[in-house]
Amino acid sequence: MNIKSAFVTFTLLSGVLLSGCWDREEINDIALSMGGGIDWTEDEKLLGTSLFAIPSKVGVGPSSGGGGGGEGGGKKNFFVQTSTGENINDVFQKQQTKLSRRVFTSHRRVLVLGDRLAKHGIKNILDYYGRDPTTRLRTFVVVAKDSEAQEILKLRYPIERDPSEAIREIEQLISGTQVTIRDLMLSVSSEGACPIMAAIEPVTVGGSKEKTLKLSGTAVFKDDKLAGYLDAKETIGLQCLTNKLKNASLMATLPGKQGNLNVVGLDMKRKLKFTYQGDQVHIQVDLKGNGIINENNTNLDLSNPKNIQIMQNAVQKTLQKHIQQAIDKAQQDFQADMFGFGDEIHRYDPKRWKAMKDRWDEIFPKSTITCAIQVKITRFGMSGPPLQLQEQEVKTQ
Amino acid sequence: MNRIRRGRKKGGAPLLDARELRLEDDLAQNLTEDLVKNHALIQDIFRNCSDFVCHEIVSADGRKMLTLYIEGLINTEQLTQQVIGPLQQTPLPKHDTTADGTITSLQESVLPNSSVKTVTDLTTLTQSVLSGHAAVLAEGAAQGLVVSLQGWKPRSIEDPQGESYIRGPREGFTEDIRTNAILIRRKLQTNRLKVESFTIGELSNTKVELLYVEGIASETILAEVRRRLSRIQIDGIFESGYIEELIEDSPYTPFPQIQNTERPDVTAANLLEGKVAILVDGTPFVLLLPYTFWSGLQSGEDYYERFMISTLIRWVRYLFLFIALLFPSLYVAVTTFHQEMIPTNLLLSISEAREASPFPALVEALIMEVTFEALREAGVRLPKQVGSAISIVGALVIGQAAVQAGIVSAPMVIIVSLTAIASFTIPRFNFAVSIRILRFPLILLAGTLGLYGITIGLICMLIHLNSLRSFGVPYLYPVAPFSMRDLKDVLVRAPIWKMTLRPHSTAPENETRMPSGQMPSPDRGTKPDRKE
Repeated sequence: MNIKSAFVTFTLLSGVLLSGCWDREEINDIALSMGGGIDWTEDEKLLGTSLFAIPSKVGVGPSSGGGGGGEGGGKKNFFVQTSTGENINDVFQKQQTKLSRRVFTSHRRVLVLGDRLAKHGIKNILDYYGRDPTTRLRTFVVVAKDSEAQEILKLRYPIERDPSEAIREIEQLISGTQVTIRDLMLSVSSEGACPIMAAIEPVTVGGSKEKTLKLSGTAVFKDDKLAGYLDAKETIGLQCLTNKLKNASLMATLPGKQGNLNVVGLDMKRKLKFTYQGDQVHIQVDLKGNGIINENNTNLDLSNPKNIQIMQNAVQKTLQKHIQQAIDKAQQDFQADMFGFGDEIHRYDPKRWKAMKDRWDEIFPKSTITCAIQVKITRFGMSGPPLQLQEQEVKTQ
Repeated sequence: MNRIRRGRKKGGAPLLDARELRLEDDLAQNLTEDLVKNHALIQDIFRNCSDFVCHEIVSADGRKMLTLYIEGLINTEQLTQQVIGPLQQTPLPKHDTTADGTITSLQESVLPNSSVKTVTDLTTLTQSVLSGHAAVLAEGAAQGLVVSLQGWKPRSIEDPQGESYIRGPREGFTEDIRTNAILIRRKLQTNRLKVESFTIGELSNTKVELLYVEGIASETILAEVRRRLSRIQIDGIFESGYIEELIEDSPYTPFPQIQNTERPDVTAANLLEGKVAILVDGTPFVLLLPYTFWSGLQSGEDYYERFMISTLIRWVRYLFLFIALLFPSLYVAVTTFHQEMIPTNLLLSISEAREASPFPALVEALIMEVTFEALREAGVRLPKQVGSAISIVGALVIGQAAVQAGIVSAPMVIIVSLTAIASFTIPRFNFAVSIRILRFPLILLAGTLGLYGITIGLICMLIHLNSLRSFGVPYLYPVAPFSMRDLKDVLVRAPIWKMTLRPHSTAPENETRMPSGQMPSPDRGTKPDRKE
């Protein structure tokens, strides 16, 4: 009886204790990687850059407050480590030899891809990020426009802890193309869409040598290679067509030097209609949305509905222009379906998609895309005409 | 009166040595008509008891008499006025000079006091003298008289220290069992409140009383309590804790299975739920049983405040029960195994604070928890005036200086403080202690296996809790076994007018507490049959 119960206890205990790996690690034995970057060197190797937080200098605890008084802004609370290798694991293995603590990537918020790597192709780095369990799927992926990832990660961004945090905050705040590793995996594996992601560019701050960074439109990939960049306006066009324009701000100019206006809170809803003529696909996009005028530099009185109509037309025209620019770039320059129209056809007409998916790269540039845009101004603030204008200057009709 | 005295009669080893046996022989004898012989026997029984007084007097008609008492245990002034005075001044009626007649007429005409009783054997006589009676023996009578003249004052009724309420009666039990029983009797003025008396303790002869409301309390539970009480063989009982440990269901568990309280109102309310109270002479702590897990998280005050407040407070307690039990172990597990679970900025703050600390998180947690337990124990033991010094030392030295010196990290201090606050929200002290005990194995499990270890620990705890019973009532009732009806006093504190039924677990035979439909509203008078 005793032997039996001991046996049962032993069996149950081993079942409990043998089921997982034992990975105790004190917090001060890990190197917190806050951001990562991958570049393609000129001698055709991967160059990995990791940005590590220096724990003793980041927090608000007593040690930073007590001793740090004199150092003030001069302290650097992160450091950057680079190493080269044949594949990502090779890179990290070599990186680990330079580090006294185990690399801990679970808190990596941002992955920056160098311009040259993006042009060379990102196929060979994606598997690692899809397979590694410690990588967060919600890590933002951006492209370093016309520069290298390590250059971006070595920047000093004054108001954030480190540049990766700055990139993350910018992405969340204004980028229309927030792309995470998960989104990237999805678009890479899909047949009818090509990956897009935000582009980040280092900029010099007025006159000084210090560099910071800025969001600089969108990077468009064809298959796994960078096809080119969209500027901010084209990005708005792209967002309209991908149904992602939310709470945007848009400047529109009225025809005939009448001045300009600004719309905020612009939300556009997309409706797609596909018609097919042989190999020709015609895509009809209906866009409807609302916006709020928050700046009026014309002499029009907004309390008159007719003037509102003029404004709406101006906004629609501006949007049309941005969209057309984006379409032109996609069809002529990149020849890549960055709008994901192929995916939509796949979704709504799978049979037809099956027939055309192999030739989609040829069909898409030749397809015609027309847009019907309807923007409704819902509010314009408390004042009709600009306040500084005299009564006779205001045009009510 | 049930009298539980077991010494030589049953049980294996003899409890008494030869000298004591002689005493037992003395005690076994009856009083004789020979006063000198009686005197000698009593002197032998009380030999070397310097507080024993044997006083010889001569009555009004010239008869020799003895008054016996323990000095200080009886009121000597009353003795003189009510016993010695009448004996010396009032002569007995002439015709009553026979042996038995003497005592009867003494009782009837000389000492017409209701607390006077006749005794014939030395055991009862001794017992009475020892419990605060004066005894009178007369020459030629094989009987004696005992007069209750209790001379020492029990502590006055005070606000219970361990269970002070903001709203609720301010009276608490005292050390005197009679006072305590009366306090309950005053709350439940019914003949259905039954008081069964036991004497437990071979030498302490402690009075123990079993209180219940007839017709509500379950007969099976009552029979079980009587059986367990009568099983006790011990030399002395000085606190209800002795009884608790001798009659509880499972001794090897950190969880208490019998509730104790200092409050008559709590006792009375529990009696009405069908529970049973055990009063022990010499302690203000009354035992209440059966007990469930949830009783540990309930306070009597829950029923005095309005139900919404009480429900909120109960949920705060449930939440803080988990914090008290798990907070240090969760911190240890998450910071040493699952750093990816902490929000990035918090992780950075923690890692900054942990940067300089010399110990692993597990050791740090254990050091701080043990220190805190020591602080608490020191605070409890010290006199009140010195107690504040301990809290200053604790707060300044442990809290601030240790962090500044880099011995422990600031987050750990916060964790331990919050855990301490959480454990103070548990209203029953003995239940809070069991949570404190379990915190340590959970910290160890968290430090070795992470969240996985905590899960294992919690599952083991849950299995254990499910296996516990208190006098036949499952410990987790009404959650497991599930009873929707009785959840009204666990998940929430239902309004009084909704709690129309008594808990099924303790009062299965008489469940209706009040008729339903008493929800108050302005038009209640016009619609007497309103259903809510």
